[in-house]
Amino acid sequence: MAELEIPAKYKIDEVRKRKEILELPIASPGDEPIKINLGPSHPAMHGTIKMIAEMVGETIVNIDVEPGFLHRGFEKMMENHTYPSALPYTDRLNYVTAFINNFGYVATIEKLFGIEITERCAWLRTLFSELSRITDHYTCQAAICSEIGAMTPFLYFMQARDWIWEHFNWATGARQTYSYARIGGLARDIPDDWLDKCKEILKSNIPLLKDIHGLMDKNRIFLDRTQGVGEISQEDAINAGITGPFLRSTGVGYDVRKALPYLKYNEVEWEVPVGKYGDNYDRWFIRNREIEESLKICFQCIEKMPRTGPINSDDYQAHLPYKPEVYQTIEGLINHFKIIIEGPKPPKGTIYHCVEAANGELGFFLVSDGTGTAYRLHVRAPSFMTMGALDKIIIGHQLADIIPIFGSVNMVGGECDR
Amino acid sequence: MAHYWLLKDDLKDFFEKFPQADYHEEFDQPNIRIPASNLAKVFDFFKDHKTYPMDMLLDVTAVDYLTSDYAERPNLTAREEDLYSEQRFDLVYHFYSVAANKRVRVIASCGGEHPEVISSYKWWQAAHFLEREVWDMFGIKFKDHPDLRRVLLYEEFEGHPLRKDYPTLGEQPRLPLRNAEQDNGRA
Repeated sequence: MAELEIPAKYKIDEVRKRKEILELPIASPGDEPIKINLGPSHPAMHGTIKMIAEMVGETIVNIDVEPGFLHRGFEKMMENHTYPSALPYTDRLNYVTAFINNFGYVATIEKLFGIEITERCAWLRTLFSELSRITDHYTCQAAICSEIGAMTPFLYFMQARDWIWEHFNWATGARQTYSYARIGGLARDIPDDWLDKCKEILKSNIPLLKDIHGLMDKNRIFLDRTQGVGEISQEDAINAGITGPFLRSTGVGYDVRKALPYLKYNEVEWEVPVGKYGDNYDRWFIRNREIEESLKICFQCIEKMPRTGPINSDDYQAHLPYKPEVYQTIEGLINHFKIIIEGPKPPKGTIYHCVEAANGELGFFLVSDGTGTAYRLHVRAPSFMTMGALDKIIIGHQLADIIPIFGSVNMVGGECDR
Repeated sequence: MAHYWLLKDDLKDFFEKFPQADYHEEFDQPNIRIPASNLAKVFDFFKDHKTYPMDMLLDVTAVDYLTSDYAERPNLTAREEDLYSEQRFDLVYHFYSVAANKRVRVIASCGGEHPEVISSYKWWQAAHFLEREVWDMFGIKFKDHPDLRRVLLYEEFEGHPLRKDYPTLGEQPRLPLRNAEQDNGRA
């Protein structure tokens, strides 16, 4: 066999002689920073964030975080839709926890009207919110794992998440964007044995979580990428307006569910887990603990929920009458048309209502002018605040650290960009 | 949920210091209206308050009252239906005290073509993105903001979309493709 001829210029001695390889420019402090664009078409940037990092050597000295690639004028749209018809837009704020957005939005309007929701509705909303929170944390944790290179826990998380999403599908008819809430109640009651099956699914999640803990919690590679990376102090986090698991990872026990109890959160037993250092690992740890706490709340909800009873309040100023009434009585028909065409008309005024979404305090600031459409609706999006603080966290780290940091703050484009 | 907000009784020292401030309660939530020229002093007051240190700036947003006959905003003189009315915009601040678990809402009116008010960035870093958003959507400028440019929209966008005189179906001119220098030149 003839020996393979290697062209002379690729022979190792020749290569070594070549100047451009021997004298590779190695940046040192004092050099002009190099700008590196990350995203928006980068898998770790969710397709919705662009970062322009200025690097000196391997260190990021300055970074510009640019959100807005998913901006769709949510707040402008809300000024042109009646209250019920604007509900599906709130699904798209955080498409992983659409329930929490739905319930936060309708609760704001219910507070305007002064509508009391029924007992069963409140329990169902609590249960759905917590299931949603679990799926959101699963998604975030899965993303961190896969971005760091651990594919197995990613698939475990996705499997567990899909069980819950398929279960939502059974109750609401959709896996992600449910539009399940109605002002004063819910779209429909849950099917029979939905709760029992739900309990089974949640129980089958526990061994999966155990496997994931075994794979990740003391994994050397994972610890190296997360511990001491992306740290933020308590004062800085509060000052930057960060809420949710991110703030709790720094040791501040602020949780809207405890601070301003809504729905049934003060009737179930659970804890607010807090971290210590506010780094990536603490955020991972807090989310895992919150999944456990949410599971606890879910089991209690299923136990304590009244199995029968109305899910809609009988206050007809805001929600549609039942179909038999629409078809058989003139009052029902008028009521139906008034709500569809003009929208329910709340009293005038300004209101702020907040709920604990998976990423922090999700607030709805609403100015009502007495018509069926909001005069102004502003959403206080938790992800937007974390994006504002992200540059402070990233500066000083290396380019590769952006990926786990960005993964662990769990930015959701829909609510950040609105 | 009245007790999660600072109500009139909790704010006695505030009204002693700012007698011109107006207090108005809606849905058990306080609306404290102050002149925009007093904002810096109010920030100082709330940031260093002894019982309720407002260490978190939850939210900054604005409301454009141009097309509204909702003239019930208290402490305002008769509203002019005017693009450059001095009271066209309401700037709305939500503060939260983590230690005392109390919230408060402060409202300041401003107007003119591009109104200018003081930035709260010096007191709360959270204002960085929030005020950029208000500039982006309403065209309200913030004095002493470190980096006031658009945040959700692009620099070449014409107008401020959440103003009531921006058409819902408004269109924007097409832009030429950016070259690489323009694309990462702003960092």
